[in-house]
Amino acid sequence: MTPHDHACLPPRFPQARPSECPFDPPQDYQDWRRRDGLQRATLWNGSTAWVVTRYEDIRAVLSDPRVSADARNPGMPRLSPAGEDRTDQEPPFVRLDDPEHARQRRMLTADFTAKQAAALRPQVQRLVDEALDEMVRKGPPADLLTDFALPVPSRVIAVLLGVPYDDHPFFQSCSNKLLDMSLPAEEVRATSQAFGTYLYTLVESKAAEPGDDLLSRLLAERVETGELTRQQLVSMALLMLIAGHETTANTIALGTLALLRHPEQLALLRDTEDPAVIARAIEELLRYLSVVENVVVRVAVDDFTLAGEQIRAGDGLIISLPAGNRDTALLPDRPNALDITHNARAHLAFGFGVHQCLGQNLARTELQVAIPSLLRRLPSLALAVPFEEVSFRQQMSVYGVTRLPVTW
Amino acid sequence: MRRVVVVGASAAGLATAAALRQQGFGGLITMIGDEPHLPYDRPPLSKQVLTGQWDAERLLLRPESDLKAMNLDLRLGVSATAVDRTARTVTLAHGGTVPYDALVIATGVRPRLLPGGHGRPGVHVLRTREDALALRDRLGDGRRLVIIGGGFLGTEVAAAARQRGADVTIVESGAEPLARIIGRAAGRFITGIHRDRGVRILTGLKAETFDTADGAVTGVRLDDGRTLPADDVLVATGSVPNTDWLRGSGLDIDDGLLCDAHGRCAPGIHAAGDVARWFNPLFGRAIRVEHRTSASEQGIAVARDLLTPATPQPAAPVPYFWTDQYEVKVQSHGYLPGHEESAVLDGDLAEGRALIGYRRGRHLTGVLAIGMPAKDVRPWRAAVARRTEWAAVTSAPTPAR
Repeated sequence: MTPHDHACLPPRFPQARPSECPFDPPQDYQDWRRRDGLQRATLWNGSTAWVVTRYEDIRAVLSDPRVSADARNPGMPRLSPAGEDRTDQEPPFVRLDDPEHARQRRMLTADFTAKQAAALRPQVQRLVDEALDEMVRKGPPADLLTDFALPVPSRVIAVLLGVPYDDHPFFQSCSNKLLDMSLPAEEVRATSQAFGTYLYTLVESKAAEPGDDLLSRLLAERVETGELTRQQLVSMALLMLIAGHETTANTIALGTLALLRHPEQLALLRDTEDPAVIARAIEELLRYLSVVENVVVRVAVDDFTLAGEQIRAGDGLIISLPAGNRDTALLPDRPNALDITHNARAHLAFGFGVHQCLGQNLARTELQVAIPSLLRRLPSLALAVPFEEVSFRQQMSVYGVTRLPVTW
Repeated sequence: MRRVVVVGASAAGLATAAALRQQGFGGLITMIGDEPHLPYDRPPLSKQVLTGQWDAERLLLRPESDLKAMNLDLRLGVSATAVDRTARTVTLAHGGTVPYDALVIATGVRPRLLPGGHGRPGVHVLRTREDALALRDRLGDGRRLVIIGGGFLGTEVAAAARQRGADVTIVESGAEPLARIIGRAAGRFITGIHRDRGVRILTGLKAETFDTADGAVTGVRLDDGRTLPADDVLVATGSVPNTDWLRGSGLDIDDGLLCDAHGRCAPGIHAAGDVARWFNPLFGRAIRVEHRTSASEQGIAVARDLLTPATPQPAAPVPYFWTDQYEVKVQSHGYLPGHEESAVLDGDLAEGRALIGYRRGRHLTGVLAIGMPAKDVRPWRAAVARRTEWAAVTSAPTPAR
């Protein structure tokens, strides 16, 4: 039985990436993008929403003032049971509209500029080298995800925020659960509450013992001045801590796997010292992998037309970044191929519009340092299991591998 | 230890409970608070709440569902009336008792009152959410507010009330507002800021009685015979630790509950926050600090001490507070009351940007920063923590970073 047997029921969302080509978006999404009009899909709870898959449509929706990101809007698509509204608190700023979104985001922009990210490069390099040293010391085989891909961005964001890295088993496990769409709402809620208590206690301790870190500064310069409430700071911290390591970690692991499947491109990246070539390769990996797959949702707050369809106020819109990144409108030449010489800079992996990823400069620096350093340090890097045995994250907000056994 | 009872459901009490849970304590935590509200933050009461910028909902320290998830036995709107240290129980106002293995006292302070007048319409104090909302609703264009007491609370309220267009007079018994704590030069500077914004400041004067008509306040009579007409009067003459309920408990009470450097005041009993007077090795004496940051810090330290009593962590915290006086941010690290000397170590008060150091004995014991960014002030905190010699800071003003 195919999804289309239910003549009246739109196909479901989300769908799994094809097992024969686990780097590609789900086949249905690719079909929807090629078809005219806009697809409707059915969510886990039986509600329906529009799925936006075309590059230009995605850019249009994400920059349209008639579209809201406010999680409290009842029309907002809920991609999983845990996507439930927390009615007793304000959502983190990424799930709010301007002007409040912009107001909170502005408090952070100075810390995430390209200049700041460049200034962090030596520190990122040191953390990458340390993680590689440790992995090499333990010897092959290794799980590239937990031995390298996760520790590097976790350490970076922990240092930036002022979160003790020793707590990483706790915050990584919390992050993982919060992004797991298969968990019952109760478990996700309990996790978010435990995470909230952790961060509340951490923020409170920063008041008395301020460090040279972002949370200490936000507390002193924003909370104490009344610009942010304590709850807003806790939500902000939670958001930055999760977004700061899950996405980058999965891109490092999945990107390494993709390169191992394309040895000639791996060699090209490994053997270059040219920062422009490296930067271009990382943009292409970001585009090709698009790990942020079940995250970006919006709701129309006014009627408008999109791709010839009438969108009504209250309609939910799901943005498929992986599908949009395979559009010929972005890349006329072989958009479904990984080619690190592609010019993919205009990709959507970080989203688009005012909510575009705040940490993108930092992510770029981490990826530009981590992946080439890994390839150079371990030129004989190889999968320790057949490719068919690599298991991929299913029903997660952020795509990736569950583990990546490698040897060298 | 199976049951921890925390008396007080504000910043220090909640920090204790949150840190206990965070550090894995799975036993019962009973938190008793005499206010009917979920734990809320007080510093914004005299700032964003009075100006109308925030509604009271924004004060909550934790969302209700997250508090539920902490699995607290939360008793709100109930006051504790006694502690029986032999039976290890706390008595509640309605008569019940709650047994404890460990007791944490975080009952805070209450405003010091002036005899006569309290309870009359128009006479205010400011400690609770209700106090702030009541005063907020009375402020407005041309409304006459007399503030008795030019301390931090009085001056903060003056700033907020001016923003609301009220006609504000501060009556201060000392030579300058805040001078007792921050010294005369800094006090004069703060006075200047307020005068520039139209606040009338009367110094060296005491309020004697309230004038009333039909039960409501109409003015304040001063000890020089003058009468200040008023629609509202705020009494901000300091606070009193809430230790009355511990009378007869045998606990060591002297301007707060006397505690060692870990917040222990008796076997099985800790205290934290405004009500507690902790020994601080940095200053060589017990100090009671009514700062928001100390409440969290002490709560977290108490939780740690409860869970790992065998390995007490030496604590010599540097107290920190801030106050907003209009657009001027004032921050302080260290302990200023009782200082013997003060001097401008950086910047210039005349330019509205200055760092003032305070000496007691031979050491730098505190700093006050006016109009300086937090990052420029932080190195001075370290200088206080290091017990830097006064002679060293006065000869080479910028601390090593």
